[in-house]
Amino acid sequence: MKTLVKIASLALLSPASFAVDLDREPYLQQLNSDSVVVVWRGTTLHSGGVFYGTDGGGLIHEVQSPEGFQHEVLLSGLRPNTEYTYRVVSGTETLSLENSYTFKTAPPVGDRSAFQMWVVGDSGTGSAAQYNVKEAMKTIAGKDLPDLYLHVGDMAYGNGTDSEFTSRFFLPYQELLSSMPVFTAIGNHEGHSSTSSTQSGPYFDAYVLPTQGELGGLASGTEAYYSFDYANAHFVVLDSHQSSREPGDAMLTWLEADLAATEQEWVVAFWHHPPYTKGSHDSDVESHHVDMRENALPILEFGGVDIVFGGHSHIYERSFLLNGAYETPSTANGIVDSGDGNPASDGAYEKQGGLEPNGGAVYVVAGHGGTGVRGSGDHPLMAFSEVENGSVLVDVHENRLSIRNVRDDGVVTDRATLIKGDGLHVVWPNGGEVLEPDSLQKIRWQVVGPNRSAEVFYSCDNGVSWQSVGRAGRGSTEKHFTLPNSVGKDFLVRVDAEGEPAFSDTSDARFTVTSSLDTPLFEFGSEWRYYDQPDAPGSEWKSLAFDDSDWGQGPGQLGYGDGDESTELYDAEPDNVPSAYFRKVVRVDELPDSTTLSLLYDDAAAIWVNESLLMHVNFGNGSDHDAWADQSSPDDARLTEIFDDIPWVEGENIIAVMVKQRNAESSDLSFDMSMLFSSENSEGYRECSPSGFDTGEDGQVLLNEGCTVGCTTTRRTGAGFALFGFVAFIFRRKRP
Amino acid sequence: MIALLIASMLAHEAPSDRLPSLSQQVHAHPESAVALFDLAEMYWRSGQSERANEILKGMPQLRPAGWHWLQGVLAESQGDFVSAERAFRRELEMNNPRSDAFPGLARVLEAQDRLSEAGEAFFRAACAFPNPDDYLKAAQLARLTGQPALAEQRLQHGLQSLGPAVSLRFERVEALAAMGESQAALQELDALLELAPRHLKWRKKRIEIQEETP
Repeated sequence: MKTLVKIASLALLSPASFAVDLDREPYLQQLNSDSVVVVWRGTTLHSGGVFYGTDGGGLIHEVQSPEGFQHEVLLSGLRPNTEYTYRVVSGTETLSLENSYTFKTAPPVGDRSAFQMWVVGDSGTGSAAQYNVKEAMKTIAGKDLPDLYLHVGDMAYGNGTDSEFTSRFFLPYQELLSSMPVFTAIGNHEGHSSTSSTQSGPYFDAYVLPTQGELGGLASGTEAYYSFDYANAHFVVLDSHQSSREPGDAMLTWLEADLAATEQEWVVAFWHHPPYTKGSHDSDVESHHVDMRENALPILEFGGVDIVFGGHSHIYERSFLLNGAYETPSTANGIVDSGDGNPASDGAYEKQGGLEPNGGAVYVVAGHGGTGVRGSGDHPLMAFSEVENGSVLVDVHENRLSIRNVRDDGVVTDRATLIKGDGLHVVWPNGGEVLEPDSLQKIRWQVVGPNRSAEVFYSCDNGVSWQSVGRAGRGSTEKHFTLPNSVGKDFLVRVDAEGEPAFSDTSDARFTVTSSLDTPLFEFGSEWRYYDQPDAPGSEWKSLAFDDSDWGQGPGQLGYGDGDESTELYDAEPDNVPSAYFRKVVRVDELPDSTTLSLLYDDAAAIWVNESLLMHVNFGNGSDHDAWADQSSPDDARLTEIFDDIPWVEGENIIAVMVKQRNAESSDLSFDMSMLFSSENSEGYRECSPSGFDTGEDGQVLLNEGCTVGCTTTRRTGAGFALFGFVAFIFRRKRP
Repeated sequence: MIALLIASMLAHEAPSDRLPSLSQQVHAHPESAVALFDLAEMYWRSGQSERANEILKGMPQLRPAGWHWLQGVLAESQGDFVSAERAFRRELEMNNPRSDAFPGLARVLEAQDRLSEAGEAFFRAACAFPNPDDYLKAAQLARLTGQPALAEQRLQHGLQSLGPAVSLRFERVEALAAMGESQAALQELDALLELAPRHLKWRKKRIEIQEETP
């Protein structure tokens, strides 16, 4: 590493044109508290380098990388828990799509501060479902990004080839991977073209995983299975697909030693084939699952494992707290706590403090990250199962670990928490909620151990400053609270037990207070111009000026073959026409803050607004008239997404849609669509400013007399207000 | 073309899901040895060894890469270790053998109780493609056949190739103890226990070695 004297010229570079094209934008590997490996890949040989520095301090450090296609650059000597900015260059040229990226180093090992991880499995289809799962996570995370990304395998269907990795892993997650380090377990689909015993193939080419205990843990000698530390957690990653799963062989010998070596407060394990599942696979009969259950679990549970993630089975399943459930077939034997683990209902699962052998673990199947889901979901050890796409967010803070299953429509459908030893855990609001200003809410928490009175606080600036909500008496675990008459996205609550500093917890992530006005732009069933003939329309068909007067016209749904169409399009015989076209001119008088688009399609659709591509689904074969959809959709597939960057203009706007058939023989084609404008209703509200509030004697919020923007000095009390629990999870997407 | 069709069909599907469509494609283009071989391998991966075997037997003379390997794993799965050994050996004689054929040969030799040969084959596999499993088996079999010095030699090779993998280091304790090098064994074990002080089996092993040391 050397300090650059002249960096100013680099700052002037624009990423607009590249002599070296990257087929894999920068991604982060092996991040810990003092180093990270930045990886990227070009389509041509090039020498490279990384400029980096702390935020505000300039990119004053440089590491060069010799000529190659793929570059793996170690940045070392970093400060823990610190945000860095970096830029990937070749010579004087910025290579990446963005001018610079940021990452945050890990906290020191053992540090008990809060962190979040995103767990995904079986995602690598490149389908709309994969993208929806990602967008749903971003909406719910309540942070800019989780701190870690754990992938439990099957990230590049169908054969884990190099191009599949590029198009189905690196491209879909591009904007995440540049800032969020990923740790992976090999899945069976990666195993079609990568081999653990030789550590060769696209999987091992792509990732730079620890083999020598570089990130904590003991040396495994292979990237196929490994371990690492992050904050106060120890992570174990196993290879359930190709490495020997027999006791006494290398992997389980290493596992036993690795677990005996860690002193971390939490132990998290993940691999591809889960020990318990009744999804698209059955853990009672398939050998990979049986082996991991019978051979690996006794070692892991004795080693104090707290939570285990798997995939392979295309379903979401989450177990009770279990110990010793190794028998085949599985029965209900081995349940340590038969509650649902949800702090809001049966309460969190409780374990002894620190590392406890055989104290119980929760098992999660997260094989729902983007591929078709199915299965009975009736495993006797599961507390919750759902056959829908989604992913899992995990928040760890001191002695609390909480998981949320985030379905692909942005709804949190399952929550569970583990508490180790005595502690206090905020139950609600705990991150991702969207609440109405001035509404009465009930802050709730759970206490394990001696009950104490508690002081409750809220923050509207992500914890920079705190305002008291009031005091709750001994034994109470809730406090009514009227939200301030203001809006913001950085709200948190905190509960401190009196006289016990260790009994304190903050929301795992931020919640939002907002009020919005919604206005439909047009509904399903509205009129469209359409073109359904074998020849392509003119190249200007997406423009406002295009003359579509000779196109057909009719209300949605438009299409053929299902019998539910209001406007039947031309069903060519014997072969289908690959593409159908739709246009609508809409007048916009006031630009919205966001637009909710609901789409019905079969089999593929791409949407432009004012000739700017808004979104596409199943368009992997491109937008040429003669190109087919790259995969089939379900009949009348539906998709709803929220955009906040559509290039609307005041006046007339043109919406242009291309819908594609899967192939010449497909029997149906469908299209309909609606759009809804949303605008923040700031009238009567103001941006939250903690200094603008006081607290009354009873702990309720009192607005200051200095408040000026449309608010009055009002004193609220809990009495007389009905509990208003409005919670909406919305789903946002940037344009491609 | 067939390979492309197959590749596109493999997307998004588990092996058992893609068998019907793969099978249809093969029926449409029966002349393609590669397609037949892929179909056979898919049957094997989905646990239908008999069907995979049928396809292999009916294949044309032109045999694609990996044919002997697949024949080997199918024979192995049926317990026919002699045929499996023959197939794996033939695969390893090819120009670019499937890497899995190395440990495959070692496994079927071990299954025939030819432990010394199996240990040699595991070592050959590990030298070709360094990995902890094959080094460990190579050393364990050397020790079990009364050749602890050979085990130690193989482990040293592995540790040089892979770094200080703990699975190999603990096997080295066993090998050194079997060689009568108790002090060296205890030294290595103490170093391991420093890394993992709560490892009950290692602590028990330390007591055992101490008790056996004159």
